[in-house]
Amino acid sequence: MKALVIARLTFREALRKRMIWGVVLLSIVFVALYAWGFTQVRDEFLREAARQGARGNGPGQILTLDFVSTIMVGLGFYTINFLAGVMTIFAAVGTIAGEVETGTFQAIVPKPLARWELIVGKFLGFAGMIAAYIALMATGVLITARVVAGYTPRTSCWRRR
Amino acid sequence: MAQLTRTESAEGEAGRLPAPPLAIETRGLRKEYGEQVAVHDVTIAVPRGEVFGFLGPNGAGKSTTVKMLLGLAFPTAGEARILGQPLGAVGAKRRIGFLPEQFRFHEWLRGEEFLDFHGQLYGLSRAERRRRIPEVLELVGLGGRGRDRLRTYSKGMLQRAGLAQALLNDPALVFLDEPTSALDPIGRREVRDIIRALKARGMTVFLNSHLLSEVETVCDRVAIVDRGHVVRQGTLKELLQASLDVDLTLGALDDAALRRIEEYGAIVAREAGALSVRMDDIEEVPRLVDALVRAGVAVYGVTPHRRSLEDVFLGAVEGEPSEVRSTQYEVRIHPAPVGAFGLPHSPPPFVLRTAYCVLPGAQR
Ligand SMILES: Nc1ncnc2c1ncn2[C@@H]1O[C@H](COP(=O)(O)OP(=O)(O)O)[C@@H](O)[C@H]1O
Ligand SMILES: [Mg+2]
Repeated sequence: MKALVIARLTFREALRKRMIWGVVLLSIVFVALYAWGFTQVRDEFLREAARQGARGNGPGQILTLDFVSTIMVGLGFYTINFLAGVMTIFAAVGTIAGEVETGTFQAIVPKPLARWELIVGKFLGFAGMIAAYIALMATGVLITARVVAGYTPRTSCWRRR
Repeated sequence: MAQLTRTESAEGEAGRLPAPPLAIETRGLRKEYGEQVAVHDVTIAVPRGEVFGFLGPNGAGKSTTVKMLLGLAFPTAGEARILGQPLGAVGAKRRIGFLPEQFRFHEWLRGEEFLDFHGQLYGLSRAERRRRIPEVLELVGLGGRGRDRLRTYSKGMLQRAGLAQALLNDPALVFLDEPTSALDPIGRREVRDIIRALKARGMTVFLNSHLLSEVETVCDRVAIVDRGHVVRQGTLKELLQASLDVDLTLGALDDAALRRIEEYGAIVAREAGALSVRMDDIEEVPRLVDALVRAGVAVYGVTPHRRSLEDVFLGAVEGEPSEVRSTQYEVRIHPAPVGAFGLPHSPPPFVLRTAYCVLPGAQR
């Protein structure tokens, strides 16, 4: 499958862009800040719950730590979504026009492969890279929720732990 | 010959003697870029197993023609068949190699990785690639440099790497667009030797070049292009033998004697006591001398000159005026917008001197 040959090269090439590593750096900063913020929210929630408990209001009936965590994880995913979008644009913008311009396509297009394989290969290469990025970032957010609040998202919000 | 049955052209002309199978056949290829016509009308036939020189000044449309043949540009009009298949057929592409003019590859790859990538695009198996890559590296003179990154290669080495890439699949037909443009004289000779070796293996080579010497030394057949038109086409022999100039050193001439001479050929230059006559056949020379002697003209010297490819080229590109000499003279005194070698800003005498250095036609 020639498209996969193109995809592999595209993937490797994408990793060579400095912009990409800028986004990755930004992402690490984000995860760190996120973990810190999550800790702050948790502490605030526990303090408030304790204060309410002292007043005899009992622990939060509706607002549990799990509920707060769900919101925090949602926020994390939202940010990842945004960063992945930025990443996609930086990585893939003008990739085909660029290769036409620099002339690297001149040796590739005459090879025995169809145009669509070239396009699909390019797409798969970037898609693979973005998928890896999203997977890593999502793992970072989930681990943070796990460590900070002992929370793991469930497939159904109705099921009790 | 098994090849005969493979080509459409041989089949299409059933009844007649089978024509030599053609590697490339085009009819009226044309490419317009908006208002600009890059290629007007290219109709060429390239027999298999030959080295075909596509010769023309810069901007003549050589690269654009090759791009159309390779599917890099779609023709505005006209048609072409390559290895018996219509343009864009993947089957033909498997047996084609191409060294682009503006050689740019992914420079962060190592030489071997680069060749491996292109080998995969050709659909070569891992075993074939492992065998073939060191072979082509050796062939182009890059043996032992495969582990280095392309970024560290010199321009000449990059061109060699590009050539290696074009030969990976052991193609039946290889397009080389100005393959020696980044090479020093030694490199140029090596590329010439490679081209000859490829021909010896039965490969068809399509060589784009503005270098007369290159075409003259390796090509069997030449098409001269100028401003998008093919202005001459034929075997190198045919082009060079089409005519010759004979320098005559003579005594006093009267008009009758001049007319006599003109029966044998056009007078292309005339100074006191010296004439140059354009003739078609060297066998005519003794007859001309005989006629002169009979007419009572003193003949002091007769020197026939084969026209070099340079003469043919300049004549063709400048629109074949009746006087080649005066054409050269014109080049010297009128800086045309684009010089004979596409060097618009260099003073014409330089163009001329270059021509003489590159192409000592008299040596042939
Ligand atoms: N992509 C393009 N867009 C517009 N004009 C072009 C393009 N490519 C080539 N041309 C023009 O077509 C003519 C022929 O170019 P080219 O085929 O590169 O010549 P050569 O290879 O013989 O030097 C030139 O005048 C060039 O400016
Ligand atoms: Mg060119």
